[in-house]
Amino acid sequence: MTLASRTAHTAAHRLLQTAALTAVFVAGQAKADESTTRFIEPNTFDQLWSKAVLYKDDLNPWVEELKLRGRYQWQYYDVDTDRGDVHDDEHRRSRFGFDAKLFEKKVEVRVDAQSNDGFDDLYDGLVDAYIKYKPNDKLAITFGKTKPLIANYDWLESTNTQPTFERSQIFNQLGINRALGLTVQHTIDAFSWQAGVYSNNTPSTTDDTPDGIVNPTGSWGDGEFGDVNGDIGYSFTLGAGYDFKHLLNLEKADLWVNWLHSERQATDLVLNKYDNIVSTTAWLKEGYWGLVVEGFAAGGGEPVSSTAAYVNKDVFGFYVQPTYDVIPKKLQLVGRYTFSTGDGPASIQGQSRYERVSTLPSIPDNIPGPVSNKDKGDGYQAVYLGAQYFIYGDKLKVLAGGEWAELQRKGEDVDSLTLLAGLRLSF
Amino acid sequence: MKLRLTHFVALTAALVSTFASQVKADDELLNVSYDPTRELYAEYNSAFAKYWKSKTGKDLHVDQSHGGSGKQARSVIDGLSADVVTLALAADIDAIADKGNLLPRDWQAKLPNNSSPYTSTIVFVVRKGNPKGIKDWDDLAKPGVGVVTPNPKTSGGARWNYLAAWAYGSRKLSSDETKVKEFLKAIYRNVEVLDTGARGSTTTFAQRGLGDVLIAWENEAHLIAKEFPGQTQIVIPSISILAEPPVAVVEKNAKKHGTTELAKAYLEYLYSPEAQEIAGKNFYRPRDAKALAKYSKNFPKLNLVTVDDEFGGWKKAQAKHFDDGGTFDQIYDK
Repeated sequence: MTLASRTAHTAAHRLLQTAALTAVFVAGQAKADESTTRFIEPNTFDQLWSKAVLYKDDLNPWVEELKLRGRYQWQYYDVDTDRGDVHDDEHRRSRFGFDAKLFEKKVEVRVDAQSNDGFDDLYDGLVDAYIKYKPNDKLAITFGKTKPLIANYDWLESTNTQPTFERSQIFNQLGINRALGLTVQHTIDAFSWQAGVYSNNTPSTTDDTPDGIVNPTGSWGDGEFGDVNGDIGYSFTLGAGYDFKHLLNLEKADLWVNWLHSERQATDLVLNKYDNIVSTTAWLKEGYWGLVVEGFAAGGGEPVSSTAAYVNKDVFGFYVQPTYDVIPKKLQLVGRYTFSTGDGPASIQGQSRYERVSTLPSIPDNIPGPVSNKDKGDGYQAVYLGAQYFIYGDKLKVLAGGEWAELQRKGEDVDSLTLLAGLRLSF
Repeated sequence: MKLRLTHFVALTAALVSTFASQVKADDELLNVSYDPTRELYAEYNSAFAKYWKSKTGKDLHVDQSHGGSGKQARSVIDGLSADVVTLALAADIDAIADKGNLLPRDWQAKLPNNSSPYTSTIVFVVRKGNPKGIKDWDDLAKPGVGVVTPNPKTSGGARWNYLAAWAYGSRKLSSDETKVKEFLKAIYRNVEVLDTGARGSTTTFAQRGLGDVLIAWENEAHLIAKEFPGQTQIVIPSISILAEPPVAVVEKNAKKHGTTELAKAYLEYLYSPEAQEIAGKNFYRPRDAKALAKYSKNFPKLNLVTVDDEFGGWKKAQAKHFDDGGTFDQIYDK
């Protein structure tokens, strides 16, 4: 049989035929056994999600799989702060793109674009755009626009699988976003290491008007690739991890330490807030319980030129995030305590979602200094409590939660309570 | 604000109570198994449920998940919350122990006979009258013979098939590995469809009518003969392999679900005379001598090699032949 005719026998076709034959075989026994045995067959969600796979043939040596990918997250928020309250909903995340597995699955290509809230711009920036070489399941080399390798949970774990609406304040504080880079990830038994080098020039704009006026519609860092030469900075990361699960007899016990160093320039657009960032991650799972503890320290945030906007004093912070499966694979509770502190009176910034959402009045800039210090302080803590109900695993789920947060400023703490409910879908 | 907060809390409480009410009172178990065991476990589950009811007074529902053995193991590692696994080969349960840490690495010592309550082997199924005159592994390598076997990357049965062919080739070709690879290459050049699991291959051969010969589990071969009477016949090769499909409690999942006692009892009962009888009836070779004797007409004596003696155990066999870059990758001519 030719390759083409083999290809025509799609997985779905085989699945249906297998089910049909099985039905014939089991029919004689089904009546007697149906009260005891239930066969798990692909359900409606399985069939629906399988539509995203445009092509699949494990035996094609050139192209094994082409799959559409996307995500959508809608959420409603209700913020009550010392400065007033506001409630609204937004299309928080909407992305679309594709994944391809090529050359005996040793090469993967991912391209992901995003839309903005309300879909005013269907294309509103590039998220991932990389090619990955995986000669085996221990080694991966990635080139393109990708995540710098730091913060193994809060950043490197997809938000699709995270149990909260937003990443922690301490991570969001650090100015990390995707960048054009080259990374290597390698595992040797229980030990892993990862490294990467990145351009700090990923632009924030996706829409330059014909007259040359920059009209930024994408979020910060969500433009295309940027430059790799000229007067731009670069960063590199180095990290090591160890899998303790057999040692501790847990289902999951990963420990990671990562370091990001940035040779910043005044014109940099990403990875431009601190010279050095260190993250440590402990991720444990056993039975109904999960626990993530992730700590961060960042330093060297002085301005790189007299006109640079940032004044980022040294910061330290961590979060502790336990989860509990009330009904495994169906209902999970999550808590998260976040703490951060900084050296200067304006070293810490609250979350843009939603403690300093633009529709709320800003905390006045009453801290003397060369740049705006609105909505900033020197300490922060927050407690999030919530739940997620899995309709189709992490691929379709409902989330609800509330977060109390306190931004500490000299002589003036600012409290807020944000209630959130939302739907997250990914394929 | 207060009104909105009240609504929010009420909605969350309603969600939680609705979903919490889904918790069932009866005992439940998830058995993740390989492709061709559907009929075996459908019958066994009924028998065990009666036993369990008599012992505990509780009704039992068993959810059965079936697919290629390697693929099923991957699903359990990725979160399919099996209480027990009844897979095609030890390497797949080893992977669950190594990568998922969901059961101890010495799981195979927990039950008799290396945790394999029944055995099987690999035979050929050919069309009625055997028009291609297939008698042994050599015939599968001849040009123009259409061979159907699953993909060793996803199917446990396929790996047994491959190793049985290797054992034959090794003897025939004086253990010259280069020549053995050429022999395997010739067989797999004749493969028309590599399905993901053994049941898929059965469908391809028996229902879709593709191929001249199906390399199959012995039990699957008999099942085809039963369901498609007079259309096929079984050919016993001169050499095959003793397949020992193992079973294990996925201890951490069972503990989480509160089913440890039930899961252990479920697997232990596989060794009971009643279960051994069911295994024999479904064309698996029972460990129990009495049951084996009763169904002996279905189980001709074969020259069987074992994976331990011939290949140094499953860990070595898996690494040499089926991991990325192994002999299967080397010989499979796309």
